Parts: sequence; C-alpha cells; structure tokens
Amino acid sequence: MRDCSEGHMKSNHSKKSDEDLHRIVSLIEDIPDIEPPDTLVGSVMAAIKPKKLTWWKKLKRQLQIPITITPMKIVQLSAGTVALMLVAIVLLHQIQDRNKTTSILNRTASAEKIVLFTLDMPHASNVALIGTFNQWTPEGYRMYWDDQRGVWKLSVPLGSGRYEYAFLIDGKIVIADPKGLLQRDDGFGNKNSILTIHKENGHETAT
Amino acid sequence: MGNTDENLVSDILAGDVEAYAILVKRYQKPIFNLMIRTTSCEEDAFDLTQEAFVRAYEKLERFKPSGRFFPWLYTIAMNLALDFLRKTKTREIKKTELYEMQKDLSEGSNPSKSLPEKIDAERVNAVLQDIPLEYREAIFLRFHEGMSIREVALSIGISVSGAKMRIHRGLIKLRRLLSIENSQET
Repeated sequence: MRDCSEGHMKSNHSKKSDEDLHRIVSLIEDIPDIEPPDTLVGSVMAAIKPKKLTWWKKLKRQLQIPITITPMKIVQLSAGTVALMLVAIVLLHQIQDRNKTTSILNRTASAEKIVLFTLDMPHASNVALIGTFNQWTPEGYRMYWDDQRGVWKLSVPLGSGRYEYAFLIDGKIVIADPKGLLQRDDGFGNKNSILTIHKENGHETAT
Repeated sequence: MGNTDENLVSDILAGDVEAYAILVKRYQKPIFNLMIRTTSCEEDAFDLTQEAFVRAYEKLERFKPSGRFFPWLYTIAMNLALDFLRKTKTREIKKTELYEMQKDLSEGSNPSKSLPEKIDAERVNAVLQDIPLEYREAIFLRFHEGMSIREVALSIGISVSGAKMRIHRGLIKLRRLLSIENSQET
C-alpha cells in the first residue's frame, strides 16, 4: 500500500470505518435480552388500584384521540350543531360504559356464582388468590385492599364444583383461608382451603 | 378494536385495571433490561422496573393518545435509571459530562486500530456498559429496539439532532473501545 496516495488511504479508512460501524450495529441487534422474573407483572399489579375518571376527563380524552377524516365538501357548522355533537359524544360514552357493565354481568351470569374471598392481613404488601380455578397462578387474581373493612378482597365468578385455594402473601408465603371450614394437606407441608359450590333448586350455594 | 396500546390505555382510564397487566407484559422485557444495564443487579433492576410501571400508571392521564406508549414509558424509566445513578454512582454523571467534551469523538475521527475479527454480541454488550447511559440507551433504542430517531429523541427527552449526535458519537466511542480491547489482546 506504499504507492497509495493520501486521498486513497483516507478513502480506504473511511470505507473500513463504515464497515466497522455496520458490523457493530448488526451485533447490537443480536444482543440477547434477559427475561424478567415471572413475578414482575404480579408485583406491579399488586401496587396499583383501579382508576376513577370523571366524565369530562373521559370526554377530553376522547377528543384528543386523532380521527381520520376523508376529504369532503366543507360543511359550515353552527354553534348549535357543535353543541349537539358534543352531547352525542357524551351519550355515546355512557352507552359504551353501559355495554361494558352488561358484558361483565353476562360474564358473571354464565359463571353462575360470585364468590367473595376476604383475608384479614393488614400488614401484607400484596395478596393474591391462587387455587385450582386459576391453576395456582396469581396473575389476574390480585386482591384489593378494602380500607373501610380493613381486609383484602376479591370477587371471583365460579361454577358449581369443588375447589382448592390459598392466599399468596407478598409473593412468598402461602396460607390457607383462616376462616375456611375445610382444609387439606397439599403434600408439601402447606394447607389448602376447600370450597364447594352446590347446585340446589337451580341456584348455587357455597360451603 | 384490538388490544392496541391506545385501546388498553383507554380501558385502564375507564377503570379496567387488569388491562394494565397486558401493557406490563408487553414492555417488561426492554424496561427490565434497561434497569439491568443501569444497575448490574437483578434485584435493583426488578425494583426499578416495578417502580417505572407504577409511576407510568399513576401518570397515565398525562399520556397523549396521539403518541406511542413505549417511548413515553421509556422516558419515565430513563429518569428513574438516572436518579438511581445519581444516588449510587455520582461518577457516572461526571463521565457523561467528560464525554461531551472529548475531542476524539468529533465527527470524522478515524479509528487508529482495527476492529477485532472475532467479536460477538455479548462482547459488544459488555463494552457498551462503559458508555454513559444517555449514549448507550440512544444506541440501544435505535438499533436494538428499532425505534426511529424521533422516538429515540422522545424517549430520552432530547432534540432529534441531539439524538442523532448521541447515536453517532456513541457508535464511534464503541468502535474505539472495541479496537482498544483488540490492540491490548494482540
């Protein structure tokens, strides 16, 4: 390369430099990710509470969502028309909320009985309900702290049958329901509570 | 209506708290990995990731439906990561300041040593740890998460030209560090 001109050398340098950067970029793409622990989702969900949004905030939010408008003739809107449109949006929201409630009711109707689980454990940071009805996984079965009653609670729709369950405290300790009448050894030194839902005269009763 | 981020955010704001679990599942991996890169400790990374998602949930009303959720979430996580470094590794911040001043990072500087023939993604990842967080994350978001420059800028809270500069300088520094390693090994 002794006979190369300085410009040629610079150009080779620059080419090599670009190649190096491309190589680095493709290696960055391949850097392996570390899988987060399975308990992460549960721990986040245990730390948050449902939001309550006022209707005007909902409306403001709805108006922030971008909408696609196809080109059309310009229509002059009077102040009255704009007001009517706003009322329609509010009504639409209320109908959507009602539909949501109905779908929840339908869900529970098919599940036949709502069972309210409670646990008096004020010092726990988070509690989840685990059992045969959720394959002993806490995800989606986080219990809520009821300030007024001073208990953790969760309502679960269950059909007739026999269920075993327990409470998972702070993601570590498993205890049976202290108020449960029936318990069974789980074979690992812990006890599970037993809940049976019977069908009597077409209605479910829990024992 | 699929489970898009925007739909999920609307459901959450309407009181459906369980919808947030889907967003956490969707983005827990990049946020957890950001915290691992920041803390080098799984326990601290777990706590910071949890805090990032809880903070995002608390601020969810401020999220604009017209924007993308992930860059918005990343901004919150980045601020937490920087807070962590301020509390635990004050040198990290000084490192960033020094970095801004270094002359050898100017555009057009050529590497004096060549890049090793045998390098892999893990080696690059290890060397990336020596680069200040704001540069490292700009590179990660652009090339590992596949964000646009605009989204990178949004996530880090800087201008588009600032993001471009950080990505470029970060890459040059990375190449230099990898080349130095090579020259030390041979």
